[in-house]
Amino acid sequence: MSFEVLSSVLTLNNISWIAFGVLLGYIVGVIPGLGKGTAVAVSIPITFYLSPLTGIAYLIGIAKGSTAGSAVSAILLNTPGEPSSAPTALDGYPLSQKGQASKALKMGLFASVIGDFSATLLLIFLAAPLAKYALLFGPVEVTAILLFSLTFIAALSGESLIKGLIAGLFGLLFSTVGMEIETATVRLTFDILELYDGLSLIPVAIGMLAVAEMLVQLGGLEVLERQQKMLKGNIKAINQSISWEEWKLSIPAIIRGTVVGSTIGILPGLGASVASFLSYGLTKKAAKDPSRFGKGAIEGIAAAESADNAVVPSSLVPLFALGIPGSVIAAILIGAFIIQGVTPGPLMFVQQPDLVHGIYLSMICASLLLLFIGYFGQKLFSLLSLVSLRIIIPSVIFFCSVGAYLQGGGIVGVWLILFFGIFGYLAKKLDFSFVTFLIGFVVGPQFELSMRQAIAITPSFDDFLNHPIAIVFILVTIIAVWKIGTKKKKIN
Amino acid sequence: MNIVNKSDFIASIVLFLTGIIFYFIIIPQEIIPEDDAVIGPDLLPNICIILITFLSILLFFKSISKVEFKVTIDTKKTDSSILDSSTILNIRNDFSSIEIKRVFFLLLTILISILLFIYLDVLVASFFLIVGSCIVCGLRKIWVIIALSTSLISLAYFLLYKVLGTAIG
Repeated sequence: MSFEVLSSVLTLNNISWIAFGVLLGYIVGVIPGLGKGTAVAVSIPITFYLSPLTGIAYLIGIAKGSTAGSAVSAILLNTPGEPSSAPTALDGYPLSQKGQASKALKMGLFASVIGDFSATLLLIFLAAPLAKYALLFGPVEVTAILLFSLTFIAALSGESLIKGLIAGLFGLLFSTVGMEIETATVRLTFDILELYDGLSLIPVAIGMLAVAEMLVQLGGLEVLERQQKMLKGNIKAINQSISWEEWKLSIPAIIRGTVVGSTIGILPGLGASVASFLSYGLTKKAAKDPSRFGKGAIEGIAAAESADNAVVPSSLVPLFALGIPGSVIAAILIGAFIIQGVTPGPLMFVQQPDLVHGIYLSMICASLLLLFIGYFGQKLFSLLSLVSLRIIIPSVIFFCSVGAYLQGGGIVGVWLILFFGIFGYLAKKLDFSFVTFLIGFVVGPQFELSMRQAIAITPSFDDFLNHPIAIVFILVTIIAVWKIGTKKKKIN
Repeated sequence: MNIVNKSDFIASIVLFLTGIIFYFIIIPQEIIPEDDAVIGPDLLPNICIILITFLSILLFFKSISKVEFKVTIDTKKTDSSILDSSTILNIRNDFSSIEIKRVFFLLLTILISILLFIYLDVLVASFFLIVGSCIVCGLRKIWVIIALSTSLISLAYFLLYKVLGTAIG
């Protein structure tokens, strides 16, 4: 890492934006129902006015802060800020009821930071070597890998394989709107001039994530308020420290959670919820007295939070190494990269190594800031979990509209968030994976281009046989879908 | 016919009809391929829509068969107690009448504010959007609504116009 990279990262401006991102993410994470996807999507327009490094670092700061912050409402309200913090509530809330909320919050924070920091190191050591191999791939291999990723994500991220595939196909379909590059044919624009350049990712992401989430939350206003009333007056400033005995119980859980979270994060589509539940389940299995779990076992919080937070950095491995988004955050980050004129993927390591190193260093800074902000802001964040959704929803809707207007081509951007808000709301309610949709939408142009090139260079089946990597990926796709489909039938 | 999953049943019919409309009407009208193109620009949209239509037929049969085509993550099964008690996850899968009403009025608020933006003024549209959303969410304290709308608009103005130098309106 060169001195120039260090000096570009360690500027007051850059550090301030990372700190602001972590703080904003933490606040958003604490407030039930908002989530990191919403926060990152709404914040993208701001990055347009920042340098590529600062903009990306700011967004990653939001994602990291939000993941850690979601534990606060899980512990205090039994209402996880995000679904992936649900296992944290299992032991965090009973601890809170025993008057040990401060201890639970601290363990949640420490486990989050350790998981996040370790996974960031994994990203640093893994992405560059993988990218070297990825540079050897041609259009046939890229098509096969994208097909594998999309199918794998569709099969795992939702509750139904069929619905997941439909969502992914809709994502691909919407990505074809606008001018087709090869033949300059205008597609599916309905003579709306603003759509000739295609649908911008930002209004689509804001609509699918933020607006749709707010519409979903409208149904649960009263339930959340009941939980908040129960908590009111119960937040005490007790400075409880974690004992050595509790650390001894929690350290193996944190290590386990970090390994589980990092592994699951690298695999596209599985997501943080699977990681935190799996880590929690494994820790419970490994415990001498599993009956303590669910009643306030502190290592339960450590297991869930370390895994949850390890997913964010490790899910960037496929994005950095292959240019394939494995999670919603990675998909939205592609939008931010493109705004900054950077194409994420293996070429980034060759063309802009300083930017990559700068992002790595900023991610480490974000981890440290997460510890600092989370530790000293604990009391304030606890109070924030009491903010009513009746105030949050209008605020989010307003900023969504402003963001979509700025980055979505004017008023057409607001029309788009309205359309995709309804689309996303129905997708969420009917269990069609919006994750697969967004990833399909993001990889759509690349998929179409590489598919066209692949068809052109492999006119016959014999030509296709000269691409063993592509054959392997297609076989893996078929086996994975078949295996997952069979397992689903067995479970039912 | 035994409908096991009503929402999937309706979704499959809607998706099937969407597929048919797209394939026979929208794609032929909206994508006119060049004669000399080796691979037509309608290739990917057609592939997508054919697969969506095919999958909607599968979804239809799954929704009326006795075996539900649903998966539960193993860990979710073991820790179902927490899933049942968590507010965020509980409100996702059912449509209540109050929710439908609120969703409808919030969408209407956004729609009217867009029209106000086009035909009137950005400030009026912004106020309408925030005040309307507050009312839909059940906020009744006038001073809170006024304070919220004023502070949000001021914040947006300060951040976007003064700090970042963007022009709105």
